[in-house]
Amino acid sequence: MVKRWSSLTAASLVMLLTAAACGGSSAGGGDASGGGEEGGTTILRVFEGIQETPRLEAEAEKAIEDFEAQNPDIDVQRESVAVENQRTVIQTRLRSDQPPDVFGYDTGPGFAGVLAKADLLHSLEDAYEKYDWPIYDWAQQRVTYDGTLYGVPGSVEQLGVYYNKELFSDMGFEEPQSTDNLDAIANAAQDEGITPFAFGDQEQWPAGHLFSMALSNILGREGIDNILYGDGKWSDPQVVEAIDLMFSQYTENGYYPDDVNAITYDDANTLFYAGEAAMLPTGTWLIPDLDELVQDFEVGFFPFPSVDGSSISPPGGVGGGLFVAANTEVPEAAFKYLDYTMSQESVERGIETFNEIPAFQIDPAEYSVSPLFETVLDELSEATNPDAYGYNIDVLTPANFNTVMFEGFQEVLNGTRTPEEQADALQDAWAEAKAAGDTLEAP
Amino acid sequence: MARTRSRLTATQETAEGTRRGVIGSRLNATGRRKAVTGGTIRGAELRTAALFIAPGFLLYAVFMLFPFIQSIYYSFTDWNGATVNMPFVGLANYIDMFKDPLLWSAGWHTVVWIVVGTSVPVAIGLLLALLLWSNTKFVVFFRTLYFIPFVIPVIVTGIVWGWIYHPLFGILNSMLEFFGLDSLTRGWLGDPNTALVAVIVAAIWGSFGFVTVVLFAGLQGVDRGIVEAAEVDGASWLQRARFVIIPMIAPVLTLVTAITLIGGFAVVDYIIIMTQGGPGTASEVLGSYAYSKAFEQNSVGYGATLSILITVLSLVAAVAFLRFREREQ
Repeated sequence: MVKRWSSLTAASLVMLLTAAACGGSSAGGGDASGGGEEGGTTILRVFEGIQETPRLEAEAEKAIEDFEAQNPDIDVQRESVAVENQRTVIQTRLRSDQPPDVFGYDTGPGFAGVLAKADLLHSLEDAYEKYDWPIYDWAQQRVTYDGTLYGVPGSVEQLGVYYNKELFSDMGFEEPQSTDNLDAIANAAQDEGITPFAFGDQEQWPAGHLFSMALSNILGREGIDNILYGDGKWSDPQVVEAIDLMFSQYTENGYYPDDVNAITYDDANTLFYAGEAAMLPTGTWLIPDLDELVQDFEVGFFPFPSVDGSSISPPGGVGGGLFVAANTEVPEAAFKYLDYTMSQESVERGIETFNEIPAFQIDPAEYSVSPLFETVLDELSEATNPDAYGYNIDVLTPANFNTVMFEGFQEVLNGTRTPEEQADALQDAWAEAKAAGDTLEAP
Repeated sequence: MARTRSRLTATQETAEGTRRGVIGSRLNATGRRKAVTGGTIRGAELRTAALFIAPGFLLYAVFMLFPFIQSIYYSFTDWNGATVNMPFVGLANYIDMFKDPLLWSAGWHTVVWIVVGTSVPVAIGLLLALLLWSNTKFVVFFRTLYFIPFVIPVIVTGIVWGWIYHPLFGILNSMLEFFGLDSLTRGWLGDPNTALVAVIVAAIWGSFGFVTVVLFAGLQGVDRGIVEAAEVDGASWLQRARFVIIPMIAPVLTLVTAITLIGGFAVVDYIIIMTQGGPGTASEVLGSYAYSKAFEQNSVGYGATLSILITVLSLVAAVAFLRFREREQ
């Protein structure tokens, strides 16, 4: 009996080992799909989030073709995945035998910061020196971990409020400068039977943007810095005030659609596109969709107004960035690709096709864009002084904090948690992350 | 009579003895050759068996056994999923787990899922299978109809039910309004009181077809004559089902219940697609909590610990259920 099982086990093991050996040889064989040199051509693997529409995806492919045409010795193998899947895919891919040489990823400490700590990113210090990329200092800080530059910041994004210009005009309002103005507009919209804010939080993260807008104004950049890098606490009264304003008061006032936790981000956007909501609080990444889908009225954009006399510090920053894998075999080709993304041709495509705002100084007059994008571009192209801007909080905070933040805001919206309790929960999560060394170091 | 029986027995013994004798002499005549040949056959059979088993075992080892063993190892580490080093923390994750308040709420939601998500589809599936079996008309049509939800990908089921529950254009609220039940309308997936149940209902819709078809297949082995005899004896439809039919398909019923039960412990997909565990943590179950920890919060070690807990709980529950059923039978 023992002998029989031995035979069986031996046969299975042989097959197992054979298969493992076959797998090993194919993985390490340096085949055509792998990165590196092959027949004089350098293969460069580029991994990034898929574009919103097939048209934009085709444009992204075309950009690759243009790069290849300028660099005939480099063959780019582009792979795009759904943005929400990037996180689960990238960590395993970076540890595989075939890591992407260049990849797009979020810049926060819970994202690229984790990869940098794990030594999975290639330093770009030399590349910055060689190519002299003119990226804003504050944007470079977003991709600097432990004092080393690891990434090229992608587009600059700002959070604010889109509004229906015609409706505002009909109701006799201009862009609000204070939350009192905003209340008046919201009340007037309600009288017209229109939802004041198109806001849906089923995915949980949209609430983070509302919080960032209110908190950036109430505390200012310096105040948030004090929490992120100093002695400030998330349980401070100003934080409670921001949570209370956006998630308790505005819900009680009926500024959001009913059952806001059951409405998705896309549903909320659709309410605005259809003219059923007066305002849409979100980010500048939505401009291409707004330009394409809103046909019946003109769209305007304003930063969230002053809260009880506070300054106006719209959350701004870089959403994502490009990084190079630590174990890439073709770092020079990767740097060339990064350099191409900052060429005049690439910037023009980024602005005019993808409506992306580069993280360096440009002259908006040189580009042909929609009126809405022009408004935003004018404002953001002057963003040489980062102190005027607040923060999109979830980009700067670690994953455990973001989970507590997102889940807790849903509970405040439901009325099952008070703003004070939520602020305390944020502080607890922050303390836990700080103890684990997961928070950003002071720039 | 006794004499007759003795004679018969003697005759049988004689016949048996003769048979043994014939076989015995044949074995004796070719004993050596047969012994050698028998050994060769066993070896060949073993090799053939190994060849047939090996591909399945290989797949099982690569995709189940190895990851499971790896998960056990991860559960003793504080790995964030990115670093090469996996700091060994011993039982710390297990100790933290039992202090974690979210574990208990997610555990409670999982219990609700298992109880409702197992009993309801099995009950519906059993009822439909019995109805199908009792009526011979349109069997193929209805069997196919009931099975369709099961073959639809979970992502599609989740999205479609999300539309049904939608607070702005969902058909459920529209129907409630149509029948004058406006007070019941709500954002089903955004309300902490209804989110979990709403997702379970979608999952039940997706799984009852499987139960129906498996039980219907089991019913094909039931002797209709016995059921008709019970009917002649005056047993009602319910009594026939309860005391005659169900006991005859008990093994199949046990199997399908066990599969549904184990599936309930590991549920992740419906939750991720429909609520992401929200609002807040109102629909978080152990599976989605483990996923969130491992893949969203960079705590692979802790996520692995939760997955080990899920495995142990589902194994214990499945074995307990099977033992209970065996004792009943």
